[in-house]
Amino acid sequence: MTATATAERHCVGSVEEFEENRFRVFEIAGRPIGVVRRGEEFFAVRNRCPHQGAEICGGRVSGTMLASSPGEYRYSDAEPVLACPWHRWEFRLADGGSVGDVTGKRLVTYEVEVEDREVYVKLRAGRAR
Amino acid sequence: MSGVFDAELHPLITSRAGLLEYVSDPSWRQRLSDGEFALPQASPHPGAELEGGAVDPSAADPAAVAAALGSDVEAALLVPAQAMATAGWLSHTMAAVFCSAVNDLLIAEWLPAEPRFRLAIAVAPHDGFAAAEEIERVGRQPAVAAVCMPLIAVNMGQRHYHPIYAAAERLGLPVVVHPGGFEGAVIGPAALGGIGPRTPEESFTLLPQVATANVASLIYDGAFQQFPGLRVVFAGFGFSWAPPVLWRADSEWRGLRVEVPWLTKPPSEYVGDHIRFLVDAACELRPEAWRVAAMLPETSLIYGSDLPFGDGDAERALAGAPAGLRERIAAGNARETFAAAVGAAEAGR
Repeated sequence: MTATATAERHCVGSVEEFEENRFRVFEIAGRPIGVVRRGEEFFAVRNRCPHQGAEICGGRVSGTMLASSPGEYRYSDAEPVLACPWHRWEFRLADGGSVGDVTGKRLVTYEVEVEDREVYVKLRAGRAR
Repeated sequence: MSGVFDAELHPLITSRAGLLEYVSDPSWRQRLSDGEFALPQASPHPGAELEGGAVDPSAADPAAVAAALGSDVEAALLVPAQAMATAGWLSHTMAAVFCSAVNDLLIAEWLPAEPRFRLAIAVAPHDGFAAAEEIERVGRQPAVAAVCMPLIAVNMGQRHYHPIYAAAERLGLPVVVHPGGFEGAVIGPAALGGIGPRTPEESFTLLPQVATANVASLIYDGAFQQFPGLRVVFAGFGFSWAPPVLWRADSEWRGLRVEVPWLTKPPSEYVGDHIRFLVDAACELRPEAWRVAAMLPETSLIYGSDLPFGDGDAERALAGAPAGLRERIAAGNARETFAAAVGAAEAGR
């Protein structure tokens, strides 16, 4: 049995209903899940910061600063991040990993599919809440 | 106690005429002879001029100091405390001239007196380029193991110090910073929080502020990225304040990493790799302090006797240290910290 075969798919609206860089939060199978649009890309994450449980989808969605020489900034949009509104810890939208490895904790992420201009969040079967 | 590396022994200079012989520029020698130039007081601490007993004059005699070294002492780093007073001097050139003379005197008169003596050459921090020239001038001598300087009101992470760090790194010399006695004066030396006249006791109590500000500056300004070989020793500032500062630094870094993206690991790890704190007679040596010591990276602490302002009894000073740290504090960390000196390597030590 593959994950894909057992994943539940939940429609959260049409592409046009999503504003750039602004999360919409849904309750899907009892879980608070935020979905955000970056151009034609969509990301979905659990609306809970792994640090102290803040509703992280209220945070800033943007690129971030790459490791650089002292006094220089190198901003990159290549891997968009979500910064928690409480303590500004940043997590990559793509895989939930901590930017800069400031923590070993990860933000829970979900796969998103767009089909016929409709946006679907896929939940992995059997995954703990 | 077996194997003590004393990383803070203050040689005393009491003869003005004797020092002036080492002022190489005849015009400066003339100026210092003609004027009211006086040697700085022995103790580089606020209010020392009002404190009790005078320093034992034998502290100015290299043979006597050598003879008094315990048999357990494998090396003693000479840190010329009187040169730390230059932080408050009006003439930056005079400060540099004075430091050069002190270095030459110690090299000529102290180092030959005892093979266990090592020297932290003094530089004046006001002019980074002049200080770097001084490091190049005398820093390759075989017994030179460090650079020492007082702090001025420019934090240590600033580019102002880069010439000093580049020279020190090139010659494998850690930079020892030590109070000069003027901290908290309104203009010139390193700042203390708040403005106003203070009692010596208040200034002394607040000295860790200077170290805190400079540890933070070294980390956040990226000095250790620019000078990966740089090591800094905070002597005379204590250490008990450090763990909470590092906890806070690590905590802030997690949220504010984007402001300092050049930091690629927690600030406390940079401290463990690059910064040492001296455990000396001025430290908060009480039983609780040793519990704090165990909260620092194990590389952090090195012992210094602070002679002639302490009794030089390392065994007693470190009696309460955690068993697993004691050897590191007594000698291991200092051996590692001061081992990279180019002069020492060239001399085959």
